[in-house]
Amino acid sequence: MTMNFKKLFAAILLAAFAASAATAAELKLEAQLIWATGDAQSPNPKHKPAEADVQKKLASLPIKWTHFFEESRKDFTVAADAAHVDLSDRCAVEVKAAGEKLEISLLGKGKVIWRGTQALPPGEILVLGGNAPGDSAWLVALKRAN
Amino acid sequence: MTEEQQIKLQAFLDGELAEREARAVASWLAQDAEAAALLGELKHTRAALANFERPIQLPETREFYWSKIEREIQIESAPAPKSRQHGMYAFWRRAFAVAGGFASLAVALLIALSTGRQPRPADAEVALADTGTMTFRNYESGATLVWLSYPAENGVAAGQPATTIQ
Amino acid sequence: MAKSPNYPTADESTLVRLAQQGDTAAFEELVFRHRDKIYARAFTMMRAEDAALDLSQEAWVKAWQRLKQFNGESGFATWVTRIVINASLDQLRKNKRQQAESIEMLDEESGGVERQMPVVTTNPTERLERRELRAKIDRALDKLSAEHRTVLVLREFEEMDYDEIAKTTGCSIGTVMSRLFYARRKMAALLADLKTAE
Repeated sequence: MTMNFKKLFAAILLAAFAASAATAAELKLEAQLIWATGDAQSPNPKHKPAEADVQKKLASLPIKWTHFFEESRKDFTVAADAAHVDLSDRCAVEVKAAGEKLEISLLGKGKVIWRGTQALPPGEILVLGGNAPGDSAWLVALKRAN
Repeated sequence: MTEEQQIKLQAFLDGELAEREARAVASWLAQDAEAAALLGELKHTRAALANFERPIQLPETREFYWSKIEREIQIESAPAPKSRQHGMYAFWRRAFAVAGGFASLAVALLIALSTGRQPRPADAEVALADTGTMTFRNYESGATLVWLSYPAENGVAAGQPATTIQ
Repeated sequence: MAKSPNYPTADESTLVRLAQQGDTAAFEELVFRHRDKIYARAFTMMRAEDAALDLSQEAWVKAWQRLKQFNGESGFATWVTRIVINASLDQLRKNKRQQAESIEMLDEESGGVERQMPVVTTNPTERLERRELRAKIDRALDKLSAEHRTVLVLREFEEMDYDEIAKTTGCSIGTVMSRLFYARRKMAALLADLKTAE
């Protein structure tokens, strides 16, 4: 019995170590570029409605727009170096690990327009946004990849 | 035929030769079948391209295409957001930006209290170099919003106060 | 209060004048009227939709910034076309690889490849329908290097003379002439479906 308990304890320790090693080594994230509007349809044929759980989270934010369209989506991994992700020809994000948090930079036309440090636990979303012409908005949504 | 002669044939076809030179080439062409054949090939190619211009259409809607141009025009017209400004105006602008950051945190705290949840320590460290940035966090849904003043328009929801929660 | 002009029916000189005074709605109408032409020029040079979209938009923004410099000597669309051509050339220069040059370029300098191409004596496009010809030319343009395609586009589609092409591309007239010659010979061979050195 004692032997089994020791084995079980060792297995648990090993699993925890592996998990933390994996977490420290790399983090899988997803970035989406979303267009927010009051119109039910987007004039851009390449747009598709944002996925349901993202829409639900966006609806919980104090922004007036009611319809969200996904323009692009990229999965990426944050390891030791910063990950650079192009979401459009003018918009990119760079993410690097900063201890248990993430240092996130938003780039517009190659220039950093915002930088912040943020924790991003599973199930949560970080949304960077700004006004766009035509009474609409652009949003960059960051979350953990499934 | 030398390379120079070949290039001269092309210049003759394109009307780039001086009159005297053009006459000399015309005379040469009348006697040289190889040169005449090459000129014929150049003419055919030119004629083919003259009819070519494929009607290429812009693959975006008018509104979407214009919205990106308009945004760039507005950005180019706006003063650089990170340039250091001096004087009293810049001082008060920075002061209000700091106050704005604290106000947004206070709003988040009020909301958390009103929903009966314990507020968590602020997770977001906002970069205030970009003045006009505002942060909002909904602890219940796990969504954090950082609203930027880029482009020039400011405000989280135009016409709707930030404290209005759905 | 002054009545807003009817932009869709306004003539171009009126729109340009209004835009020069800061009327973005007038400028939007100008963009709408010429957007296909400007995009098409960028696409013909870059051969990539994303790059062409980016460059055409960049050209429109530059046109807005330089509007006061437009004096009506050329047509407005021609003026914006020059801007997009220059923007495309800048981008092509940035894209230019620093590694070993292509066989095309080496042969051009040594004057070799075009001499080896047999002269195409029959008109290879005679029996082709317009649409088929356009598709064939489109595919052939893809096979040219950026340098060769550029001089061909400037000569055949923009009808620039050698001097103008040289100034626009920053090359000598001699280089323009030899690149144009090579581009035309290669086009002829491609249209005739002859095998060429790739």
